Amino acid sequence: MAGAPMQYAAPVLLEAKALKKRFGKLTAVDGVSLGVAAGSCTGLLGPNGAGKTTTVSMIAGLLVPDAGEVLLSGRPLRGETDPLKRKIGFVPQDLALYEELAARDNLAVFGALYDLAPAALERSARDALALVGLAERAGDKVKTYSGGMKRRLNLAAALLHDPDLLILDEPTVGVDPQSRSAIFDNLNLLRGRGKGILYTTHYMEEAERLCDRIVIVDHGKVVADDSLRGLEKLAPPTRRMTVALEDTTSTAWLDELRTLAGIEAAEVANHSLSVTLDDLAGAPKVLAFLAQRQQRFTHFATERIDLEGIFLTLTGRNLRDP
Amino acid sequence: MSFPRQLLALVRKDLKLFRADRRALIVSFAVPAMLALLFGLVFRSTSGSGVHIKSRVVNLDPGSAASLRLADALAADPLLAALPASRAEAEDLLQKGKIDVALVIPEHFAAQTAAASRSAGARPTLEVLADPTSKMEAGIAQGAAARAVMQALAPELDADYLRCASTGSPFTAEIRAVGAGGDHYDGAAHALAGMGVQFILIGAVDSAVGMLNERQQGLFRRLRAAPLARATLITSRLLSGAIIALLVIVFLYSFGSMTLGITIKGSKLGFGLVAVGFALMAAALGVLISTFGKTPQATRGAGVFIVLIGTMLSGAWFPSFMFPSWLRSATLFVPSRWAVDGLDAMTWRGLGIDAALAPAGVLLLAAVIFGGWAATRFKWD
Repeated sequence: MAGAPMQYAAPVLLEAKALKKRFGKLTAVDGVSLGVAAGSCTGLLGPNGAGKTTTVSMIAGLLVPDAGEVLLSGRPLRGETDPLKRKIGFVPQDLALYEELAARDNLAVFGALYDLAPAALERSARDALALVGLAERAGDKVKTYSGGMKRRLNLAAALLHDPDLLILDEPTVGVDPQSRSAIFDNLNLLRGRGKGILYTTHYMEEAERLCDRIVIVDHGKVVADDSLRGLEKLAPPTRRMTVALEDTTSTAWLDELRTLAGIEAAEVANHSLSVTLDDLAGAPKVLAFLAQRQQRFTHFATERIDLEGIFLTLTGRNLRDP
Repeated sequence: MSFPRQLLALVRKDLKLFRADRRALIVSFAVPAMLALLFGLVFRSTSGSGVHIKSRVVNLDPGSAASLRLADALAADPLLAALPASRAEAEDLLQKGKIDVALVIPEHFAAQTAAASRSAGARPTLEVLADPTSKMEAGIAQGAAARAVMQALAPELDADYLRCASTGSPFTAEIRAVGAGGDHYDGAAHALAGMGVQFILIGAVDSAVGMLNERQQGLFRRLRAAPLARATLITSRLLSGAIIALLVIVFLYSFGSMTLGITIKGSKLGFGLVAVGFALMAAALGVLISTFGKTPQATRGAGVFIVLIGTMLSGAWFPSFMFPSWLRSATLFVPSRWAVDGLDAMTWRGLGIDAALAPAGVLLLAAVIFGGWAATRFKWD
């Protein structure tokens, strides 16, 4: 079901090829391949337990694959001290922070792991904190932060050594909308600076908003790998339209609407008319019918297939309920 | 109406939760059983025939057949089992804390005792040289020696004297403490060493729990994403743990100096060696415990239990004299025993650096073993 090999306009930062990982009898990842180019974002999408975290763990060097290889700028990652790891900024799913230390002290620890000199580290920490909007709270202990602030600091800790590739493992779990939006803004800014981003999530709207390319995994296998536009073509076209009505006290016209040619079903609920057509080209006919019956409406829309629908189409399962 | 059903449901729930909590099961059943077993072994041995006082006999009256019989009697006494030694050897062993007492039979002891029994001379003195920490043992040895003298020298004593129970003893037995730091056992210094060792080891358990917490919080995943060797991580934990332990030792002995007048009467360098060895050993033990632990909660319970047993065996809670002999020998394999002995040797015993080398060496060896073992067992996830 995976798409054709992607052609990248920008230099390829990451190539993961046919990664496999087993834990006992469980095959967590079974032949996953994906890539990330500079200045792009690849989304790794799948339900909980699909193998996303295991895949990014192998890419980040936290797990050794049973088979397959990970190439960073064309070179394989070898061993726990490989300097190639400097190309990666890893944002783990957990809030991997020392709660009893100040944000500045946390960054000092994590920056030192990449052998940053004190002056460079101080500069990087200042820039990273400014980027995520925490400069004013730099001296405060992390335990005093809100969940959203901790998430932003979690991101900042991965930026200190100016990595080419950012790997984010579900970085917005439990985050308020404002912080989520702030994180997206940060990521878009970083992508604009030429950073490659690998973003795992099970939120479809996040992948839709951020990613140029989306890899959908289920049961450890890639079930789709394409741009959002390309993925939309995999699902059957939607044939539904909704119309927000001003007044639904009388719906005597509904039975007549159902008899029109090309109308498969029509329902009214909560001031909203939902119509299933045999072809979306018939939508103007519905609007004309309503105008003839003096039914005023404030809004109408035809449905667009989303990733949830695509996932359902591809796997027969709901993305949020594995 | 629903009270019995609610009550039953809540009780059943509590019992299920208790059964599901392995730590609670261990703390409730295994820990008291193990402690009762160990304490039972210790106290039963002191109330039965298992007590053994490490002793030597110095016979300065070898020309006398009676004194030879006395030396043999002291050797045959099940409580003392006193081996022969010269006075110099016995005093050296006492100063190093290797034995509890040495019984010195003075020149002409048998003849003078026999004469005193006939009121024909002054009473001779049997010396009981004792380790300052072994006052209880010295008292017991004094009584055992008096009994042995009366039995071994009975043929030489005056018959009338033996018939008259109210007559005083024809000899005296005096206890004299022997130790380089003076004859005064400083219980406060010993307690400081014992409590210091105990709480530094508990700190090591806390460090192990901290490592497990970091792993549980995903911090190790972030660390592992960096070009960081596991050896660097483990070494960092060893060093930070050892530095903290050393700071605790320095604080405790400074506090002890100001409040209790405890001083390092022996080698300060030796004290430093023992302190460094113990600090490294404690830090390595903490890292090792973390590699065995599955969850922070379970590790804390098991770790504290190990520390308490180790501290008890180190002699910090009650004199090791109360241990059965096999347990006293077994404590040589407990590093905390060497820590307490080493700190004692450098403080109130006032011994030189040579007395610090063995404890420091054992502690460093234990640190290497624990650290190496931890390195092989360490897992990032």
